[in-house]
Amino acid sequence: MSEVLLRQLQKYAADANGKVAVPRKGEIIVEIDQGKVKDFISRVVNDLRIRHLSTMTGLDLGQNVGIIYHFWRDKDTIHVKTPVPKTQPTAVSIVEIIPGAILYEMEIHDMFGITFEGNPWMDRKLLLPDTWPADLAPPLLKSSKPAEIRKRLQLEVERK
Amino acid sequence: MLEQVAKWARKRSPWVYHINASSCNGCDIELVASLTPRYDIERFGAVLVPSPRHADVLVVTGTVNAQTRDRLKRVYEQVPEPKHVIAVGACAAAGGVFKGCYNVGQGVQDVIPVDMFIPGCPPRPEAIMYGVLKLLGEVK
Repeated sequence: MSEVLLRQLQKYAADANGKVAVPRKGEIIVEIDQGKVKDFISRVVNDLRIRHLSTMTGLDLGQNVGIIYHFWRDKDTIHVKTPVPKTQPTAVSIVEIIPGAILYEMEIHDMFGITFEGNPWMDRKLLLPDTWPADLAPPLLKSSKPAEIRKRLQLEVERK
Repeated sequence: MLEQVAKWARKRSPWVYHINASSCNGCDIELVASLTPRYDIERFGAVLVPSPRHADVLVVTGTVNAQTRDRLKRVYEQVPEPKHVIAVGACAAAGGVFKGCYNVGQGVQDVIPVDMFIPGCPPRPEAIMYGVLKLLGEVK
């Protein structure tokens, strides 16, 4: 792992009140507040030139939904974690910085019900069926019940 | 007389339309393998057609979910009579490994009537050929 990279990230994270952890070689985890995450990612992309966003992950943490941005450079992976409260499920979109994140954000919007402000395709569906009822809980939250969703989508058919 | 000729012709050359109802592509690859020269299902007269309106046999692969269900029904309605449906693979038969997922049903027969199930995940090309030929034997 590059020591320079780690030191830079620690500096950026300190500016944004974030925490940096290195659980094992080549893996850096940065925890950061939702309000500061866009600035932080902008610095990672523009100043450090780490442009490869591998993917984005959503995670049900109970009170919050965690969003994790997975960046990748050479042998290092950088995971930027940010919590979004379930009571106010809005997050800041990073489409302006990384245009390819638009699909990842749509997926998290479908599966966890988080609205990304600044993403122009938030009104569309990516993975959910067109007939998805708007009042149903998003399917990957732990509170959602697959059998109930199947019943609403009329997928449960009585066998004769 | 004319009807008998039509039946004979249909039995000797079933035109197959393949629809992927959200399959993982495993069954589709085996279906293609049964069409290519190693197994060569075309020697029995079966040929893939690009439109359901030309088809006698509808081959369905994949587990049926909320998004593909209505499309599958629409394609089935476009196939002219007499029509036959073959459900290829465990997913098409009963939902497969995806059964229990939030938007997955329990196979093709809940949506459209099925004449033949070919089990397997994915079924071997021999199994697909056996199924198609067995179905042809039943066409009377």
